[in-house]
Amino acid sequence: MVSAVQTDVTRRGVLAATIVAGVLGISISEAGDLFEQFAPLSGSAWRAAGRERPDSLESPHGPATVTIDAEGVPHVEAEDERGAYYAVGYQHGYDRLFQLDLQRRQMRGELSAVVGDVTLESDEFHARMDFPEAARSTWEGVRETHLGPLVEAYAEGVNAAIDDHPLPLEFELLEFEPKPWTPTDCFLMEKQITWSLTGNFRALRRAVARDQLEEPVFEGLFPERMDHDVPILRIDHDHAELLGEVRGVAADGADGDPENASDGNDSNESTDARSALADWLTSFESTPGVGSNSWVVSGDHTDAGTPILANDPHLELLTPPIWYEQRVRTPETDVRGVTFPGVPFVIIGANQTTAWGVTNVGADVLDCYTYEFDDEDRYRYREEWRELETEAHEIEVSGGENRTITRRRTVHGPLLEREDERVGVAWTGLTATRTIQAVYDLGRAEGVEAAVEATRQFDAPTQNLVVADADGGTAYVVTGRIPIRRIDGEVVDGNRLFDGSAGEGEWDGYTPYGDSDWSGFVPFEEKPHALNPDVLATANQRVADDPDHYLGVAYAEPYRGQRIYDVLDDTLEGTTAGDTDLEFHRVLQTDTRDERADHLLATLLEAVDQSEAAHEGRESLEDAVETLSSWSQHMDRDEPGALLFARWLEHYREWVLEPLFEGTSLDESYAPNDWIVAELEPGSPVFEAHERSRAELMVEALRDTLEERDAEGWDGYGDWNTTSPISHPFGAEAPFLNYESRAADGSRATVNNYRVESAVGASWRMVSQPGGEAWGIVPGGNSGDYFDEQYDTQFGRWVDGEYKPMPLETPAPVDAFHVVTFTEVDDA
Amino acid sequence: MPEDDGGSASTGSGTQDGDGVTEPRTQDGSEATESGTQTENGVTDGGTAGDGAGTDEVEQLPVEPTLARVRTTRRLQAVGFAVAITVGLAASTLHWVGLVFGGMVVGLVARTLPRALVAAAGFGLFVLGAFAFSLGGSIQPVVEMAPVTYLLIASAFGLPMLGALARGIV
Repeated sequence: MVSAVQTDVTRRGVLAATIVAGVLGISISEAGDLFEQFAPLSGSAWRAAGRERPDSLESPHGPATVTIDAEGVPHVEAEDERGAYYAVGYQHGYDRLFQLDLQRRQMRGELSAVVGDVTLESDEFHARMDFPEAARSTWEGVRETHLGPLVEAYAEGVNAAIDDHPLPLEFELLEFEPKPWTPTDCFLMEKQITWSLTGNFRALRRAVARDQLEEPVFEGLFPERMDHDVPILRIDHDHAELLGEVRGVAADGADGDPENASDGNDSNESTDARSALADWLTSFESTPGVGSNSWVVSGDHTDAGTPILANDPHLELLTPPIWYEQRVRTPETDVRGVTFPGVPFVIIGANQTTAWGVTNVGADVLDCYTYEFDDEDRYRYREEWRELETEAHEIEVSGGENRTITRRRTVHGPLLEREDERVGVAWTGLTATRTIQAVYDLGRAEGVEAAVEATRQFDAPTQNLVVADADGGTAYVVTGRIPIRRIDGEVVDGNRLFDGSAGEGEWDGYTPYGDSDWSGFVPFEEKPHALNPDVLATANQRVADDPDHYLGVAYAEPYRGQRIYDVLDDTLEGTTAGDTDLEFHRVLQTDTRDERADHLLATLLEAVDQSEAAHEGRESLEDAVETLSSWSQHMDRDEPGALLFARWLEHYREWVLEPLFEGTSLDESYAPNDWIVAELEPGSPVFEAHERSRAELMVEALRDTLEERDAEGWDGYGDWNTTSPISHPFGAEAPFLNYESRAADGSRATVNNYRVESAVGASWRMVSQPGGEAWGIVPGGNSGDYFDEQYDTQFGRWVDGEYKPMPLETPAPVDAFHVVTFTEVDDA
Repeated sequence: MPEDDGGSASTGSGTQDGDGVTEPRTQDGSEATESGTQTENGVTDGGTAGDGAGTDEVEQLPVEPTLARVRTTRRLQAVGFAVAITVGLAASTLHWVGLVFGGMVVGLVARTLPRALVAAAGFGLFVLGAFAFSLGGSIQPVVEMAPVTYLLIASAFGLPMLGALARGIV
């Protein structure tokens, strides 16, 4: 009996210990944190699931109505603009709060404060660039203008949304709260956009490549210019009349300066390469492949007799999308389109009379300067030794030790340094800019003339802006400030490192982190323009063969531009009005024909046919040859030929480039584009560095492709070309935040642009007939709230090349997704 | 969640119940009666510990007579479960330890440890139902939140069952 009792006591003790140990063990382990977040009913994550759009709210800026349509697009209507933009801020704060805060943290260099030391390098770069100071100076310039109160109202709206609702899921997962939104943060977003489009250290990297490659190989891989004939402004005799009135470029046959049009010119033989610094900075440059398509055709070529404009910016594809669609109707205007969350005004869109779109120019608006330093860490500037401006800056690190860096500046701007390598940086985005005014004015523009006038204040980024109006007007303008560099009084291009100590290549009228008067920049009238073009297409290719001023070198390969112009030329040539409609342009915008196949496929098939190596194992290649021969050259998801071609090209690039880069610090980021690789002739010095001929490399690449295809079990192009790279910033840790993976069409060279290797592509598709219909779609959903019904509603349609209408018409409440009424704050 | 203690438990031999677990006999070897005057732990109603002597009496944990009556009376047990679920549910909205607590109080009403574990699992199911109800329109995204959903389900069942082990103590 005693034994039984003792056993019983022991049993109870064990059970008690099990319970206590279980609870304590969970509490002190990671499981406890997980239960804190995800236990049913009490988990902090579920607060985010309880977010609900309000029906009515008070606004300190007067009444407004927000009718959210079935696609999640808010239609904001107010009599007072401040009331409207308070509501816009509220919508951005409700739908995209985490995105707002994450981008702000990135640009401020504060990511490590919430995610730990994995982002320390990024934070250090952004802290050294000091983007917030540039945003502050920009806001100081805007504060006293008409837009100041609108931006302030917008920020108040964002903060009201923060205060009124549980935080979105990501905040609960990462366990932090956003700080209040400020007007300066809006301009930090502007800097972020501008950096993503124009922030590159190409000149620095070219100097490194030149230093590490043999000269003939360097010349082969980095030619001065891509030898194609489809610039944006085609001023040849066959096409000049389609451009209307052209400014800023030399007429056909005139003596232009070919250096001004170079795609890769590097006239300065710099041996002062800074490889460690260049490698580090490469991580923070604009994403490879960032570009866009846009075109405009006049009313002479449309069924309705008014112009049609198309635009699809190719930016990073994220969950949620980087664009936010909205409509704002005030007494001043009725405008609908997309903006970046954090920016109050529509950036690409259309109002009652005018539609506009933008693509990246690839202009050179960032220069690097080298210096002579003395033992006291002073730098020589012209005839004197100057102290660096220094400031200690602490980077907070979650779960780790904070890092303190010393920010340094020279007369040119921030000093970036790595392993004793240093360069000063000047970038047009690091000064006060008035772009927000230009964007606002575009939204109010009543016609092309007003829109073009608005772009005078579009200081950054440099963009190809196309615009059309309901009265038949069309135009093309290069926006943004473009510096003019001089050495010893002579104008030079900017694709080089400048001797900052000698005062080379300085930008007159530029003040980093202050107000610039832009006196030494290309005058507005001398930048490339085309007024009233009949047909004009931009796809980031070279702006013109002979521009009056050097613009830049970071132009895209011409495949997309070629395809768009080919289709437009074929359709419009010799025809009369009524040729195209919106559907025609939607089809063109989702066109998947890959012009690289024209460039390379015949050569590949010939190589297989003639190669001895191919004859030795010909059976294994016969199927591939047949597949490629019968392929339509469209990059469609179910095309076996598209799969073979796309993968073959990747393998061919590896066969050609990897041996050349062996033994150097050069990586994929230094690789030339597909056009340059395709243009390499059999006799190129590049192939002399190989033991095999071009044809043999092509055949080897095809063998690799077939092996890979069989090993992976791929059949069609969409087996490899999927949307899985389109992910949420924390999609690796929380995969449910990502959109569903789908097989996709398109490649990096097709008009329907999708780059599976970098998750870049058509971040917004829009086709608009000013004064008439417009269509658009974003790759995802308008809401960034995982629990919201509008989180991913457009994604499948975007993948399938479908569109949704975007009328300037508020849906009836019964058809709306939700209606929010803002009423005047009752002071009593 | 009330379990059917029916007559089998109260009138059975006390050697083994339907769960295959040996039921403790009363101190004097008599069977518990339906009136609940004596509990399965052998403590007689009124707080006196049978006629056992010395060590045995000291080592037996006292069980409140009311609790004993609740466990063995169908109606009272039903009420006990209802109260326990309500209290447990309330605690579960505060912290995940509330799920352990919920399982504990639900388990304490059960007549045996195995039944306590089953009752705790039932409580977990009830919690999941309440959770699903609280989500409203967000239930589908939550279902798609793998692997979070696995954790969600594991915690809904596992934590209450951990707490229900207390039934083996009291």
